[in-house]
Amino acid sequence: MKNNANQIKVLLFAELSEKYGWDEKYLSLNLIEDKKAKSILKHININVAHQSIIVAINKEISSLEATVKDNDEVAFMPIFTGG
Amino acid sequence: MDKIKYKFKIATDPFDPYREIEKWQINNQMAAMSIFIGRVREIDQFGSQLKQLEIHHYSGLTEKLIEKHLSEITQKIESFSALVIHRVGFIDPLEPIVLIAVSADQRGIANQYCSEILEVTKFKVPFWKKEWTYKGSSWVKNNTVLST
Repeated sequence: MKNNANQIKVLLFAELSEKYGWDEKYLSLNLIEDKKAKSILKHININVAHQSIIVAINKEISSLEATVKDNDEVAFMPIFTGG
Repeated sequence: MDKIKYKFKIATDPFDPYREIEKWQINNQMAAMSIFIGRVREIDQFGSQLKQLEIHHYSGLTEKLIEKHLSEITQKIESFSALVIHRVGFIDPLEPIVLIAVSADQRGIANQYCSEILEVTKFKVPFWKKEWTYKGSSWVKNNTVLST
């Protein structure tokens, strides 16, 4: 499904993606009352400790308290383990 | 014209770090150079023999965060040049994962930023490691902390 007005793109990565069985979803921002990233996480039933989640909005590191806008790309990521 | 002082590359295929350094240093020679090459361990986080390491990343954000960090260094340090290459995909034990080469006019600067850039790739950039053994797979939960 293509990204339309009032929608956001939600991405999961690595262990989160594997655990929940998807890596990309579009959803209506109208379903998220306060438009906060932490409420999106709750809405998509991702049940993990908040301190173990890193959030990026439109490819900028952000926070679970951040407010999301229409057409934003919101990524939920586990702790980084590169290098 | 300003000289580009850093180069970052995501490698989807195996690379030869020495060949990369040889090419890069032709135009980036200064008095001091520090090099770090990270290779895949032969055992996983639980001590089992590793078959392969799989590395995922968030394309677009990875490049942005590393390049932002490298750019910030160049704002502070006049004589600085860096090459950073990081593998993604499936990697065999002892194959290179990461190469960091830093040229500077002083050894302290070269050593300091080589180490600092490595820590950034470990903790501040969206890469994730999954270890495959002959019995199954597991995601790496936390990177090793810097020890001497």
